[in-house]
Amino acid sequence: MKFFKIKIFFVFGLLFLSSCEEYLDIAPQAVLTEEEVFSSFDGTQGFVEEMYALMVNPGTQNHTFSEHLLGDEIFENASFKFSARVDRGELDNWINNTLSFLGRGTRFGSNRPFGDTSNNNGRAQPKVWLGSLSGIRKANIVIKNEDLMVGLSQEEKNVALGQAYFFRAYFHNQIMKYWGRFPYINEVLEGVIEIPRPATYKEVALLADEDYKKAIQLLPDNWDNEPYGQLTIGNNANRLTKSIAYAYKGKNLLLAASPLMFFNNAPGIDPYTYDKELAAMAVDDFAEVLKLDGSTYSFAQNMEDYTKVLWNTPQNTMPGLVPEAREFIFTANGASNPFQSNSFMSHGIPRDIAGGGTQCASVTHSFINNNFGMANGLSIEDDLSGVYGPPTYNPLRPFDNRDPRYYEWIFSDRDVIGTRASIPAVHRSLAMYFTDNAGNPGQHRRQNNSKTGYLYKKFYPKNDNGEYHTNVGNRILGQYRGMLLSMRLTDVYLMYAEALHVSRGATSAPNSFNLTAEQVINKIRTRAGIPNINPAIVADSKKFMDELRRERAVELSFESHRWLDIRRWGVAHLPKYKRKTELRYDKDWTFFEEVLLTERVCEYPKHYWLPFQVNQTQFYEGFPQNPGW
Amino acid sequence: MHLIDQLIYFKSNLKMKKTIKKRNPSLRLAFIIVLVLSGFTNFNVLAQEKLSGTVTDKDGNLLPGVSILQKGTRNGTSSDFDGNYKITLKTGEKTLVFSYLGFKTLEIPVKGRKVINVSLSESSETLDEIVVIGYGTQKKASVVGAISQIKGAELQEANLGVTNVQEALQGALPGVVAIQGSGVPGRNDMQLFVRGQSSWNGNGQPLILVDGVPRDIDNIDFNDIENISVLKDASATAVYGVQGADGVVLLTTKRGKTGKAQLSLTANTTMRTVSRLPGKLDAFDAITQSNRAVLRELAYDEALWNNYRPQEIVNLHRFPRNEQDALVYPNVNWEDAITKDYAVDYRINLSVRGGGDNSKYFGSLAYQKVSDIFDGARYDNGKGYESEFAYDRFNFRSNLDFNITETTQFSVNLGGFLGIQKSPGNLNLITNSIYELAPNIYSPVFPDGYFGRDQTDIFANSNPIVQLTNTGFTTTRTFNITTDFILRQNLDFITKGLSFKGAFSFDNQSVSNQSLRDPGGDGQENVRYRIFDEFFNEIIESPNGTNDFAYVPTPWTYGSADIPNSRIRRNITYDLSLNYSRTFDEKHDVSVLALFRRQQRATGSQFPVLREDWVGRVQYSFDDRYLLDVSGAYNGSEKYGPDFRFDLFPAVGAGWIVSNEDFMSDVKWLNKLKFRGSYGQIGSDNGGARFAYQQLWGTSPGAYIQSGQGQSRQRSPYQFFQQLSIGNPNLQWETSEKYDFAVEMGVLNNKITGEFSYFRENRSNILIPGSQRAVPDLIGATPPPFNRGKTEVRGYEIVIGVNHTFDNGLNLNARFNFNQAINKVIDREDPALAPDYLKAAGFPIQQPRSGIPDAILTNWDDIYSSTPRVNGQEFTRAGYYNVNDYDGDGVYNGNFDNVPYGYGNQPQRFWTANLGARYKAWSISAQLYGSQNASRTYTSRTFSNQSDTFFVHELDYWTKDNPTATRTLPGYGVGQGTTDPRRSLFDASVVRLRSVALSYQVPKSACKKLGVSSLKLFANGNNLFLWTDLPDDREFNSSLTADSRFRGDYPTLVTYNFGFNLNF
Repeated sequence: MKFFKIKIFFVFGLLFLSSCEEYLDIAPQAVLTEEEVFSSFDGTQGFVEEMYALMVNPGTQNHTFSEHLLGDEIFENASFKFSARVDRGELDNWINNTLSFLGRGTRFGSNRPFGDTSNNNGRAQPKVWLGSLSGIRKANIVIKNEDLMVGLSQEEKNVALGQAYFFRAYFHNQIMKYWGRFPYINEVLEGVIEIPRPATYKEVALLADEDYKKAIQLLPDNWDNEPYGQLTIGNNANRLTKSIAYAYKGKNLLLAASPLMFFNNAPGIDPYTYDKELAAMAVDDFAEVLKLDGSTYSFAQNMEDYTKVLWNTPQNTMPGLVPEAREFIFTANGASNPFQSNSFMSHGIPRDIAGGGTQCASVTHSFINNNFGMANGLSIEDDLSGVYGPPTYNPLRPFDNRDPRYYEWIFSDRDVIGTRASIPAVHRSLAMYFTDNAGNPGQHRRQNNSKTGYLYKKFYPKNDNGEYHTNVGNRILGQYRGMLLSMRLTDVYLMYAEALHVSRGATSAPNSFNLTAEQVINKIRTRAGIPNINPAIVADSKKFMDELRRERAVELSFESHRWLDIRRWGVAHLPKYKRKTELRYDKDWTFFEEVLLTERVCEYPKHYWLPFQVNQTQFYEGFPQNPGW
Repeated sequence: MHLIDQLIYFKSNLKMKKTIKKRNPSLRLAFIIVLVLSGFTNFNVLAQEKLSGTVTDKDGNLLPGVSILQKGTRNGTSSDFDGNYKITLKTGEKTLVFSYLGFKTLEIPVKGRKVINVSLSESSETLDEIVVIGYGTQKKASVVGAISQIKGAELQEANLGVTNVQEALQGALPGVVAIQGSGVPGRNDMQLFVRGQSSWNGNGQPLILVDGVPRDIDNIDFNDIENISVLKDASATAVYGVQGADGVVLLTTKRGKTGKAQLSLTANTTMRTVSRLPGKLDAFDAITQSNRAVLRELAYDEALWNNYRPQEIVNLHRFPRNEQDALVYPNVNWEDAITKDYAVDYRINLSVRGGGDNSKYFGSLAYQKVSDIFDGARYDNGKGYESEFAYDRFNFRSNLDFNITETTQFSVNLGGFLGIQKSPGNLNLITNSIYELAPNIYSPVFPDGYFGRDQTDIFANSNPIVQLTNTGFTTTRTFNITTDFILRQNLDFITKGLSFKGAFSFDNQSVSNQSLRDPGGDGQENVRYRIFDEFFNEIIESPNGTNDFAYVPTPWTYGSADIPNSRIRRNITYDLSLNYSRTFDEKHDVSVLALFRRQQRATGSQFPVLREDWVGRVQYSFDDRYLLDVSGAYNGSEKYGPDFRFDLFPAVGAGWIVSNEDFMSDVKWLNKLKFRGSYGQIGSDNGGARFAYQQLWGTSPGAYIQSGQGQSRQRSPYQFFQQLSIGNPNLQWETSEKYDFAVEMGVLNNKITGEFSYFRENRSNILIPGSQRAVPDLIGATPPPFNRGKTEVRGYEIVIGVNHTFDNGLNLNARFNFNQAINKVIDREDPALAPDYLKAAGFPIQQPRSGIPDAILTNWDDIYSSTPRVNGQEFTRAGYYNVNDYDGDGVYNGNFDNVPYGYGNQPQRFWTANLGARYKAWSISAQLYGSQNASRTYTSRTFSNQSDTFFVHELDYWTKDNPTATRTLPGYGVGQGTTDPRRSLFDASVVRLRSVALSYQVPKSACKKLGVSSLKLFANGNNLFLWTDLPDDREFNSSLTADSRFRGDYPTLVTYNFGFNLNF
């Protein structure tokens, strides 16, 4: 008995002793290695694929409401919104404002600052700063691991690397858009990092240009025609091709050529001085895309087809892909949650009409009046000058005789939403007057409605009878999908015209394409249904640039380009762009008065670039903060 | 078992059974349990010298269950129900040792007597004599480590209305800080720190063990607690090695005691009321404040004139002309509207405890109901369900010990609970009513069942009654079972004093969620709202639309209960140990422990988290004068790579009991003088993720980049591959070096006792998680974590006790303790170029920072000469503070001019004063608790969204007519941001009357008439008074709700309890 017990004891003891070394090892089935990931096309493309999800679609990236317009288009006064902070000059608020698409954290807070690329909620996905940096790292890992791609055909290797080179440049461009010159990272960083910030925007842009060139060589024309594209056939429209790479290569160069980047924060910025050499390079790249208009792409020819680019497609479809209006070039997908697509589409419409979860962004009178001109094709300022004919603008009937795009995209007072009996009487037409005889504002001028006397409806659906969506009575919002913001053909045409005008003037065409800048502007005006641009304006280089920019402001209004545009042109600090105004008028339209809502805090160069989070400039010498912070 | 033995045993049992039956038939059940359990017993009858007698207390009451042992042998028995005992002496020393819990142990030489009747005297000291230490127990006198402990009974007496053990620990033990964030029924929202916090990882929470196994203590019934012991220094915690650096809390549950079955019933009722909440002005006063603010701010924004309310309207809020007015121009006290005057909770516990020579048992059943302080019941939603916060808990425990053979003991512990928690809607939107909603925002409910809402439906102004009663609820059921199987084998046959113990524990917990969903159409609330716009026009909104009167509520649905994978836990722990304990030459006490342990903790389907420990300890005491204690653990943690996986954590402690020296024998006034000290290294692997030592690659579901017709919401066929972590192969644990020096004294017959300890901790190699690394974002991923941080903690504890019993039997006692622990970061990888005052190094771990307010700007001269700001120049206004340009670069920039100010949440100092008195059957005690050097952020919502919310504590603000006030002007329409950089940082020092307890022991004679052995009535109160500058009673902002910092949290409560304890 005694020995038996001792035996049991020691047997037990030995049992445990023998296995202790391995006991704490990681379970082998939990380990996946880099070699395995890159040994097959599935793994490699799976690794590359995430970069598509690291891009940010500002329109759907926000919280329960959309908030993507940071320029002078709309007025927001809720101080928790980043757009309101930008107006106040508090650009460093991007760091902590998780509601902004730029924010450093995500809605997961500091636990998962990089967000979740697989989440179908746009707001849970990565945001611009960390998403782009994480994309750069991914691209570098792919490029570094070319040797590990043992199971891939040459074509498969090419497309994987082509996407990686494109994304490396693209993500640098994303950061450069908001923060300016930035080190070009072309290695997988580990441990100690002391890369200095380059002195100019141009040198980074030229490094990105090299990557775009490599991407153009490696990427296919169309995934549908490639063996590796068969798995996703019919769904390849948003996969990278040569022409997409050309478009972004051109954009990178045009941005680098623009006054803000050209002056490189030096005092005395002139909004009409570009880097002509870079602009000329950009022209040729844009030309490669425009050559495909009519085959790969097609420019919408009339306002009816144009709606198919903006919102008029079934909910499950991407806008801008129908043959008659295939303007879609490339986008961040912005996940798939229809709720966020809806809140983007109803961004400019009051909650009472559009339904739950939205907040109304009011278009400023200043933006409309400076950009949306008259039916005769002139800006209001030119129209009123009398130089180009008798004025058609009537200050007591400001909503009359306007550019057709005004009526298509902007709601004015008394506009009809719908006439159905099920729509509450009060919401059948808009009452945005500031005061009636008793001193009360109209139903849609009250809190959380229009603060300016206008609303915008560019992405807001209406049915065949011309009735707009209402929360009660005509629910059609959920049947459509709003456009995904990034790049479309009209944008390329306008960038082409801008680069061309800068490098060769308004009336000469380059070798690479057959349209002049003037012809491009007229092509767009024809679609809108307004006369060609006045030859007297074309003859004046600066005046033509103003018109080109006005055309861009209208065409790409509310598409998240405006803030970058007024910054890169070096005009954001001018009073015309700083003053946000409303239009006050009474119920009977007996008076119309422009009143200042807010004056944006904007000094050059302080408010042209976002500041870096302070610690980023404190790790080592050589990474200075942007000026003014 | 021997047949004869069994017969004898059975006979004696029969006899006992009859006696019991006569006296108290209700005990039959308990008796049967005893009978069944003791059936395993083995008797050895070696007739030699027979003895018998009766054991009583000082008052002559018979004492059952007293242990009687022949000194120096294992020969023993215990007294029966009538206090009688019989023992047969074996060879050896002829001295009997009488011991009984709560009484002084008595040794009586037999000297040939056949009958020895003894009377034991009670002693509060003996209670403390045994201290629970890591993997064992020790005589208090020989302890050299820093250990504090408290008896379960004592804890229970002062905290009967408290539902959570952690909450009860506030102020209960020197060196242990417990702070509370909120009071949600059934949720633990406490933070516990042992001797301060010395790392930023793992929140500094101590290792908590229940019966030696890591388990939660939140849901243990108070009555099951025998003892809670807190190990504070290295010498005490060394045996827990890599887990012990933040201290260890050991909770021991009750076990059976030899003696007759004690059936005990405790029941109490608790009334709970809201403790402190921020007070708001009523509608009239608040609108008046708004109007004043509007007038002040018209110069900045003339449109604010629209927000000015005419006096006639303001008057209507206070003096409505009729009932209709009262609804249209409401004046709601949201605290009254949403909370009950008091909530009533119940708790009942039935336990049985007893044992024979061969088996002992403790069994307990408890039921506790915690109800809601929010008053959902007042508002019937008419939908057939009621939603309130509630917590119902059913606890069970049975701890059994069997003597299988004379040398083998087998124990089985089975414990657990079923907790059913009900929680409606969004808690933040409910508490928000108290912290944000204006008194005139809307009437909560109209007599016809419509609910109030503001016109613009701002999230922050959601109707709390709707959130509480009309948005469904979630029922969370937690089912927890813990089991231990312990085998103890005496190995005297190998060498005397050696024993073996093997323990196996298996715990299982699953949590299920079941939701009642009650959404209206379009995802809006499923109710009708009556809204009054700014012109007091009525608008009706229902989920069907505006002014749609044909509203029919959407039927609610009750989901099925589902158990999320992540909420299933299975833990397995097993250990094997050898103990050796022996006294040589009556002077050399030696005790040795060698232990091997493994732990597996698995959540859901993840790979179990593994641990392996090897533990050794040698304790030596010479003549009760010189003490030495050497211990250590060789620990492994799977968090680290093979090279850094195992390490040894050693500690040594020594003590000198001066009062036991011969030369002190003449010093009569000094009863006790002991010096002790310890030094050791302890580890912590609290921080960091699993497997962070290696590069990890993984997958995630994929993206939505599909673009084709009808496909856009599908994921692409490619699964994402990701580099999950970069990995640091050199990752290792944090190492803490701890020193502890203490003096213990007792003078004047131990009437005055004192203990002073000084401690210091130097922690190094603190893990800096990737997210906190000073690595540029350029890396594009979370940088790998690494070990670099250094901190130190310095502190001391003073405990002074006074205890005196007067000749008339009145006993007065008092205990006071004062604690301080201050931590400081030595290194935390600060950015190299950051100025020193912005670095973590040199300041406490939780150091907050703020701008320096210079002086209130009172006129345009002040404004023109004020500091320009890099942001928010509009905050330079009369009535706001000028902020200091600390770095002198000519502009105030929050990134460079905010300097250390205030403290963290966790108080650096706290003190407790316990006062007690006992006279005959009466006993009263009170505990005061105070804490200092703590701060809390609370952002007031005054005027938020231009509503008429105004808090009483903000009334004294600067105006031209009130120039000496220190509060800044509250901003109404203009920015409210940084009017005063410190307005949201409050001094979180508190002083509370934590408990007052009164009890009355019903006299024996009366008990006899009732047929019970004892009956005790008690009443107590917790958190009765609070003195603090905080606007509400929360010591930190809980993370249970998202916006706790400004929308508040479930209120903490004041409790009043009444109950009784009945022993049969």
